[in-house]
Amino acid sequence: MKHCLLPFLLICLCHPANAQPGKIYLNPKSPATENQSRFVDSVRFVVLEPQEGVTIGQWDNLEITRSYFLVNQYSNKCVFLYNKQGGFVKKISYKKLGDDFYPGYDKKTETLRFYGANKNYTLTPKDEIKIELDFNNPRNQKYYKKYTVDLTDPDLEIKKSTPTEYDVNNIIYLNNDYYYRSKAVASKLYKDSAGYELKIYKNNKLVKQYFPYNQINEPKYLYDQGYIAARASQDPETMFITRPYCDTIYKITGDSLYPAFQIVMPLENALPASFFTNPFKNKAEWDNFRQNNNWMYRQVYQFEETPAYFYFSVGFLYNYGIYIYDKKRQIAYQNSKIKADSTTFHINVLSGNNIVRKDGFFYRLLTPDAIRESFKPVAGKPAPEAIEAIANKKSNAAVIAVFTMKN
Amino acid sequence: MRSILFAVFLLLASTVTYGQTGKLTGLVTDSVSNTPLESATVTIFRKDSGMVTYKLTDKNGNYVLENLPTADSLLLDISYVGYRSHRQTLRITRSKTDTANAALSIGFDEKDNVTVTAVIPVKMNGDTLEINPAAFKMKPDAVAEELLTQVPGVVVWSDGSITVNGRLVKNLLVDGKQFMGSSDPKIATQNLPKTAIDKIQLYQEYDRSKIGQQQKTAQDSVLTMNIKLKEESKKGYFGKITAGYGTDDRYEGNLSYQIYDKKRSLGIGGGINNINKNIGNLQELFQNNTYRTYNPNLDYVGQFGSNGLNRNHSIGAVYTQDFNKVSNSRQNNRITLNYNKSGTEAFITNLNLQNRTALDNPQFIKDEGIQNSTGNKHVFGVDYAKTSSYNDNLQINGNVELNQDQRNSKQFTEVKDSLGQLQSTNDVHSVSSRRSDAESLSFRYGKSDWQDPIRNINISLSGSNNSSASERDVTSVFHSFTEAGKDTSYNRHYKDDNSRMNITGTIDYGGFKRLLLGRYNLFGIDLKLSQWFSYNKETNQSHVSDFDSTIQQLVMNNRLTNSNTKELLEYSPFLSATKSFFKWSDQLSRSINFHAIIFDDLKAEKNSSSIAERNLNRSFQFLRYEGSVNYSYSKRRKYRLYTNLNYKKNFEFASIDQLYTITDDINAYTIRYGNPYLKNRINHMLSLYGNFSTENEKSLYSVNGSLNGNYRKTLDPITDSIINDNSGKRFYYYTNADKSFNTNLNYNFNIARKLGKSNLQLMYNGSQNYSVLPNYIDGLYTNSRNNSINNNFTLQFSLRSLLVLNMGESFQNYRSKQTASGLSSFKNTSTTTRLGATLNFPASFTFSSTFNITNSTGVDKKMLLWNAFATYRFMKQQAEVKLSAMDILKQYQNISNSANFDGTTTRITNGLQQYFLLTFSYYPRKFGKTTLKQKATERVW
Repeated sequence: MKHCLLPFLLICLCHPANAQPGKIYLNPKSPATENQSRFVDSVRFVVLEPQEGVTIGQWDNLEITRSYFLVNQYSNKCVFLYNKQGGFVKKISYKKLGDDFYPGYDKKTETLRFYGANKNYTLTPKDEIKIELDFNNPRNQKYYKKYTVDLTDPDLEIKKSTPTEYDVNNIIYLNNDYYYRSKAVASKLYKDSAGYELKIYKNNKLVKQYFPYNQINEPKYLYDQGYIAARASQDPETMFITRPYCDTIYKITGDSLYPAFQIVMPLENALPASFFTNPFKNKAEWDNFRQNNNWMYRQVYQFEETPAYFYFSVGFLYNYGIYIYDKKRQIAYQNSKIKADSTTFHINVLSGNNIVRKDGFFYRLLTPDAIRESFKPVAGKPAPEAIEAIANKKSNAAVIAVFTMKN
Repeated sequence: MRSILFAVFLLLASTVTYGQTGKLTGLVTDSVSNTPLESATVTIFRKDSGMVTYKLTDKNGNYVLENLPTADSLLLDISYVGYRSHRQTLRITRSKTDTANAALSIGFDEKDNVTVTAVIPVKMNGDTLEINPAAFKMKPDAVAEELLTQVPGVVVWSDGSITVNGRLVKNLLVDGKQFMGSSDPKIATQNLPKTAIDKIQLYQEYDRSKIGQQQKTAQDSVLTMNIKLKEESKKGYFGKITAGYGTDDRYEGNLSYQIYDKKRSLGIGGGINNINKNIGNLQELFQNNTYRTYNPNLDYVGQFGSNGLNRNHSIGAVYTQDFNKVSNSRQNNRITLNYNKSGTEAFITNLNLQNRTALDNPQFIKDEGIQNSTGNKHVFGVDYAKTSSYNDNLQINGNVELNQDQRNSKQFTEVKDSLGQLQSTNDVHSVSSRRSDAESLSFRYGKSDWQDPIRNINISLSGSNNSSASERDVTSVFHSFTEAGKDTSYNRHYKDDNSRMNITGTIDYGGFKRLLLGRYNLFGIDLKLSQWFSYNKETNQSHVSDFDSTIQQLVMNNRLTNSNTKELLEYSPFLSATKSFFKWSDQLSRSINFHAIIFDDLKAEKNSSSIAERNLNRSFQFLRYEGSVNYSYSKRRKYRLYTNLNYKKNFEFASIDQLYTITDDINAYTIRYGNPYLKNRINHMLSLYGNFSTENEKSLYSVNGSLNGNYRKTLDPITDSIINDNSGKRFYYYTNADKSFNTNLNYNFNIARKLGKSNLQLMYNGSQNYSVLPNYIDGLYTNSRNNSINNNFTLQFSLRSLLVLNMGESFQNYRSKQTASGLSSFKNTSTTTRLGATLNFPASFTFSSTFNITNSTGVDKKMLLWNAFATYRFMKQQAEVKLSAMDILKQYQNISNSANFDGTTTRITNGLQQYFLLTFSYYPRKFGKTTLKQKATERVW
């Protein structure tokens, strides 16, 4: 944590206009419970058109593009595209690409990007660094492959593309033509020890870098890669930034970064100071530390702010939690403890880790089984026909619950 | 019998308790927000604090409790993590539904100073099922196993094995470590009192023995039970000291004492008896001298089926020291030392009656013998294990064994032809003594890391040295009634010195693909290069001399006296390739895995002998291959299935003793000759394995079963050509046949049903073996077609901990048919019906009984064995007096009947006869500061 403090102080000094970061008090095993209707508002259900051979499961992921609901089913390596009314558009199978490919939606180019290791090769983390360091060598370009689907093209075909240095370096777009390198790793393969967790680029030029670390032997990254996560905020010019092993959530506007919130947790969830200074002897020792201290804090990943609540996910060393934080009451709720009630016919739209937010709305993909398990008719309030049909097993459609958070 | 079993099964399965019961429903909410609380624990206790039932509230905070007794007032306890619990007394109305709602407020119960989580009986914590013993009200001396019988989804089978949702618990740990140097559950679950246990955890753990295996499947994890002791119980001791004396001077004494703390454990065990009770194995001794009473092991008593009257003694100890403090099973640094001394004094008389096939005239052979023997064995062992993760493994094991045996036997054999005419007799008297020692050391090291594949390696090395010295004096008088000139008489002295040294090693290099192909993936096929080698050196020196009665001296027998040294060097490089396919979804996962190996076996043998023709040097090269397919299918929370099909081909060459046998005719009925022209044999082996288990925690039924089949075809097998000489002697010549077959199937099926806190279980296992073995009998080529069938059923009904009833049936059938005309065929059938009962009533008393009925073809009379036991515990349940009445009907006879392709044999030996034994046992027990009684805090009203 000490390593967080110095940049944190510097940043505070550089941004006198910003007040001290707001505190988010989190008890990771919080027993607090509430009815879902306390948080959720204006729920509506978009029924995804059933299609033969398409069964949506609980591990499938939802993404919202400009024109489509995109459901990624990694277990079958295919993507299902639906229009915003739920009409089935297309199934895109990426089975042939290899096991390493996972679709990523690029909102800047409105494409679906499949980038991963060529299935003809097996790469270790060391290999990946070696290739990254010498990617311009033509011999190294065969190790990765890239395919794209142009979501603006009605054909929606997978097309081969050429991996670039951006892909290899895990470049992610911010706002206003800024982009950043998200990966933080330590290795003896790096010649220069000066590394930065967050490097911000614009027009192929490095404009700013934050959070220095020793790229050769930083203890926390010796056996474990870290990634900076960026999420949209309510302000289109600003994004949230979170870092591994740091309890501060930053905001970035342009290339300017400042601390916005701080997660405050019980002592038992805090990493000891030695974690940041004393390197583990080997990977086994790191793994044992991780498993023996499974509720110690690692990183906030998804972070969504609404006027009254924060919705966020937290990775611990060997656990994972999703929470809603009531700003006014200063209470964090585990999403799993929030009870669905009659307003949604007892369908839980907050549980699970498959909630995405776009343009102020939250979207939750619900499988037909999830609806059947939880749906209960409410006296005097007719349920949507499509939902009743699913509950009565007359339909096997999946549903997207669209809602906002109460103010 | 089968119909009786079925009827009883139906009867018990349909048992329904009709009584005065009522129903309670309610809603549990947060007192401030009025939001319902899911998974709040609603528990009903009786006035004596005994738990009646419990339920967790549903998503809406509702609960329904049914079948509640209406006669007594009850305590309702509603608790939820972080909230103050709600408690109220109530009386349930018969045939009505009562309601009890509760609004809980945040905070702790200051009165008890314990959080309410202490009474949640069972919960899932991530992937781990946690059982909280404090939530189960049981009698004060209840042990962990008795607690497990009350947990939904857990079945403690009648053979002591434990399954959870159909899966067998293969590994038991206490605070993340092996307990008393053993992973067998019984020592911990049948000794540790539930009051000493904080929680019992069940989870899947990676099977460390699979380190380095290239493709991981569902079968690579083992279900592990971890017993977490309360902090104050991490130091303790327990054991059993028994002494008993009975009629016919029968006696028994046993000691089993174990002491442990966080890092060390010491177990001391031993015994002495003259009731044929096996006490030679220290771990078995610990496993059979546990504290549980509700279902005692009724088979661990004097063994009436054993041959002879034997006096056994043993004493030993096992000490384990853990060098690390962590309580997980990934990180181990442990040494285990053990020593055991055991011995037997045996006195056996036997009468064997054999009906043996021979050309046109089955022979009738009568063998009468008497044997006195004493044996003593010392075993020292050291085990060291060090691991720092599931991806590495270091094990070093050393053993030293010293044996000393003395034997004195007399045997008189008569052979008659089919008309009852005496053909020959042989009278053998043998006095022998033998000393041997064996030392072995093995080393295993394994490491695998996908991030650094070039270093993936598994090494196993083992070395052993055996030496023995024996002396034997044999007088053998053979008399032929058909050819007078063939009589022989020997008085022979044998002095043998043998030694054997072996070094074997295997190196599996998992980094081979990376080394050979770099980053190239080879279509996802994994490659592994392995080397196996073995060096074996055997030295045998045999000095044989005959007593010359004229000069009254031993004279060296130059034909039989010999010295031999054999050195065999074997080296097999082999290359294995594996390709796997996986598919998974919400509800199912399946995988199929193809594995192929090609071997190049290189062997070189050097023989040096005092017998000229045995100085033979040979070398061989065999190219062989193996292949297997593994398939696993798992439907989440329903069932799982695993199958494996394996094909293997190998080669074997005839040993020097088969080629150039040193023929000794001192046993006139087994005179063996070698055959220098024996061919190498080729084996084709196909095996099939499958297992199935349900894993539905909501189901009252638990089902599992497995099937294991093997087929072997041997080309050019080595077989016997048996010549029954006119004089009555029998000669065996090694020869090759064209081919032989062997097929066997083993299967088992187990089903259990929970009936409230009672349990009904049926265990079935069986086997079938069919073989076609070619051989020559008196020059006639015949195929022996042998078929054996074995079926065993056991039905057990446990009425809570009060009554345990067992019923079993075993059925064995053997048929042998010779294809050559003129040779006899045989069949033999035997059935055993087993009945058992244990009643734990009144308090502190246990009454048990077993009754076995055995029918066998060839034995006219049914054999009956009825044993009964009465046990009383006192002195705070730490002392026990037990009366055993064995063979109450006094009708047991040690008669067995067996058959093989030679013929059928009826064997009658001396053995145990009716006796009564009174034993006194003391159970020293202390688990930290924990007393054996329930804690006062558990009595909440």
